[in-house]
Parts: sequence; structure tokens; C-alpha cells
Amino acid sequence: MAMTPPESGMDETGNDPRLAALYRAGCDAQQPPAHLDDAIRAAARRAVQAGPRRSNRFRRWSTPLSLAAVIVLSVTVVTMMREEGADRWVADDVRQLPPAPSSGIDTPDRAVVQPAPRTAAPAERRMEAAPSPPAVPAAPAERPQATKKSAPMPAESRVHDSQPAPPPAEMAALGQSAAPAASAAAEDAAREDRAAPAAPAPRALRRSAPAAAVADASRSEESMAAKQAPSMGASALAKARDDALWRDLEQQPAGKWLERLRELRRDGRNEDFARLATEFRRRFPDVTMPDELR
Amino acid sequence: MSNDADASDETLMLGYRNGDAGAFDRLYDRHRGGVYRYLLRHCRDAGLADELFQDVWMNLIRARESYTVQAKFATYLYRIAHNRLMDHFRRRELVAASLDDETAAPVEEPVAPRGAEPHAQADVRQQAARLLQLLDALPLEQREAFVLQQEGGLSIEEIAETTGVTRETAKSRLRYALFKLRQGMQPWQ
Repeated sequence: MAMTPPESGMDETGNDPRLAALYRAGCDAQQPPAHLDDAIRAAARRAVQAGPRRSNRFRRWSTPLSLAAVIVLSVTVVTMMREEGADRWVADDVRQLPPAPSSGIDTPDRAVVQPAPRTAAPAERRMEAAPSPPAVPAAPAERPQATKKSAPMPAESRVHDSQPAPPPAEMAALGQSAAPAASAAAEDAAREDRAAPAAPAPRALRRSAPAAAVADASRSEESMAAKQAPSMGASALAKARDDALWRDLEQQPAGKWLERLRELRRDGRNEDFARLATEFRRRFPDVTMPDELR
Repeated sequence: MSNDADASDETLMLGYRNGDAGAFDRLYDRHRGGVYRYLLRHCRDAGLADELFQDVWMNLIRARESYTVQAKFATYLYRIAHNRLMDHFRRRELVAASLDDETAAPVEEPVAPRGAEPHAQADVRQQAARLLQLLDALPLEQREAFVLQQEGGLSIEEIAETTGVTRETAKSRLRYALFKLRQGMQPWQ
């Protein structure tokens, strides 16, 4: 049976001096250990010396920065993948083309043998090729001509001209890939241009190396990019998602946070609820979480 | 500002918020014992109390920038301690066991000194030990109400605010606690 305390047994303040004195006598010796005192005081001083929390300043820019990083990363990956696809297409086409009758510069044998060492560093080539978008809109019909005459040189060609010595095999292959475009293989060339307009002739020449080596290199790069892209983007995405979750609550009182928590709980968004609840607890350690949100 | 020995807790906390580390030291000196005993009385494990104690103060340090004077500082501080304690209990699933007053450990019948005048033989330390024994036997909520009153100097309203209940509930808890403690201490009266 539960005891019922008499109403008159306690004054309005609920104080009992005798019990209070006894409690003091029994408890006052219980103190936190000295090492905790030191640690807490040191943490308090560090917090003051660190000034305003970096995260407050950073938080303002974190969302746009995260979004920008994600966009740049995505564009880079997509561009690389596109180039890889186009290059492979061009390389296949070049390999399938019949040998050019004669360019007058070199023999077809050398054209096949010489480019091999150039495939040793495909990554560098791609980096060189990347900043040359002006080569993209090259008209399909003009491209073979341009490569033949080398008059309106694409940016990429100029880059390679600035290198020490353009290998003769490249010139040979130039004729090899250009000649069919003007001859009976014009249809193939047109198809190539339609399918891969971003692949200028010089890259096609570089890609005329043994197809297996090229394919291996591009495959390994693709797999590397595929491995790196999600891991780099995941944390940024998670951060952006977190920021978006409570961006509009940044300056709001605890009540608004609790309302949002209730909405999330009602909508069954448990993961968001958990993340927001954690953030809420971090920001408002003194606010008691209502029972229905526990 | 913090050099003033009579500065209120709220003033000191505002001083700390504005970068005065000395204000924190003085605030800490005032409340370290009370908060520690509040936690120790509830978890009954010195190691755990140490951990929770550190968490409470670290939470206060982290939240300093958002501190505004909305209530007595002690209320604010003990609310942080209460929340931390409840988080701990929730994790350990101990709250459910302690919520029901009826299932709480009964207050044992005290053994009064025999064969002599109680007031002559009863040592203060013995009485204090008995009081702590009785206190430990109280349900969590009643014990908390009493400890908040003693350690934080909180009023019934402030206890209610700290523990997130109505004033009547807090008053009832405190009344029960005092009643049981007085009853247990009767042999020494």
C-alpha cells in the first residue's frame, strides 16, 4: 500500500533544515577527482582560446562549397567517361580501317609499330587533351582536310607541336586515318565524326596503338575513377544532406527543432530523425527531449 | 566582471560566453561538487559518475555560445546533468524499472540505537550515513527531487523545470521524498 504524506508536513519551499544538515554532513566529502577538474578547466580554456567555433563560420559556406565540389566532381567524372567512350570508338574505327595507300611521309609498318610507347602514359595525354574544347565543334567534313593540310590546327595538335619531336609514325598514321575519309571510306569517317565529334584526329592517331593496350589502360582508369568518385563524393553528399536537413533551423529555437523532429517521426523518416535528434542534442543539451520523441 | 566575487552565476556564464576563462573557473568551483554528487547519487558508481560529470561540463562548454539568461544558471546546469543522466539510463534501460514508485525499493525500517538516549549516542556521521541509505532506497524521481533541492538549491518550480514535469508533480515527488526520509530518521529524533 502506498504511503500518503501529510499535506501539512511540508512547507511551500519543501525545505527541512535537519535533513539538509545531515545530508551535507554525509555528502560534502564527495568531490570529483582532481584530474577531472584539470581536464575540464583545460577544455574550457581551450574553447575560449579557440575563439568562436569554426564550424559556425564554416557552416555558412559548407553547403555551397559541398554542392560545388559535388558538381565539379560529377562533371569531371562524366567528361572523363565520355572521353573514354569516344576514344575507344575512334580507336576501334581506326583499327578497322584499311591501310592508307601512301601518304608519302612514312610507311604503314612504322605507323603501326611506333605509337606503342606513347600509350605508356595515357593519363597525361588525357590531361593534355582536356583543356581543348575548341576542337570539339570541328566540322565532320573539315576534319580530315584539316589534318591533311595542318592549316587550322586544332589546339591539341598545337600542343603536340610544341613537344620536342613529332614522331614520324604519327604523321604516317595521320595520313592513314585521313586518307580514307577522302576516299571510299568517307562513310566510315562520317560515321566516326557523328559518333565521336569530340575526338579530334591527333587523339585518333594516338589511339591507333595496339587496341588491347589502350583498352586495358582505359579500363583501369575507369575502374580507378569509379572507385574514387563515390568515396570522395559520399562524405560531401552526406554533409550536404545533413546541412539541408537543418539549414532552415539554424537560427531557430529548440521548439522549432522539436516540431521538425515530430514531423520526421510522423513521416517515418527514421534515419533523418536520428540525425536531426543527434544534432538537436548537440545544440541544445539543456533541453529535455519530449517523451514521444525518445 | 568576473573579478567580482559576488558575481552571479548568470553573469559569470555570460562572461565565459564572451571569452573570460576565469569566469568559468569560478563557476566551476561553485558547482563542481553539487553536480558530481547529483550524478553520483543516481548512478552509484564513481567511475560512471566521473564520465557523466565530464560530459555535463563539456556539454556546457560546447553550448556556451548559445547561452542566454532565461532562468537561473543552476537550473540550466542541472537540466544538462538531468538530460545526460536520462540518456544514460535510457541506454541502460534502467528508467523503466525506476519509474514506478510502487516497484521501488522499500524504505527499510531503521534500526535505532538501543540502550541509551538517542540524542546522546547518535553520532552525526551515523545519522548522515543512515540518511544516505534511505535516500538511495528512494525511487529515482523522488531522490532526484531531493538532491536537486539540496545540491542545486532549486525551488519546486525549478525542479519541475529541470526535470521536465509540472510543478505539482515535482512538489509531490519532493513531498514523498521528505516524508520517507523523515520517517526513516524518526528513531534519532
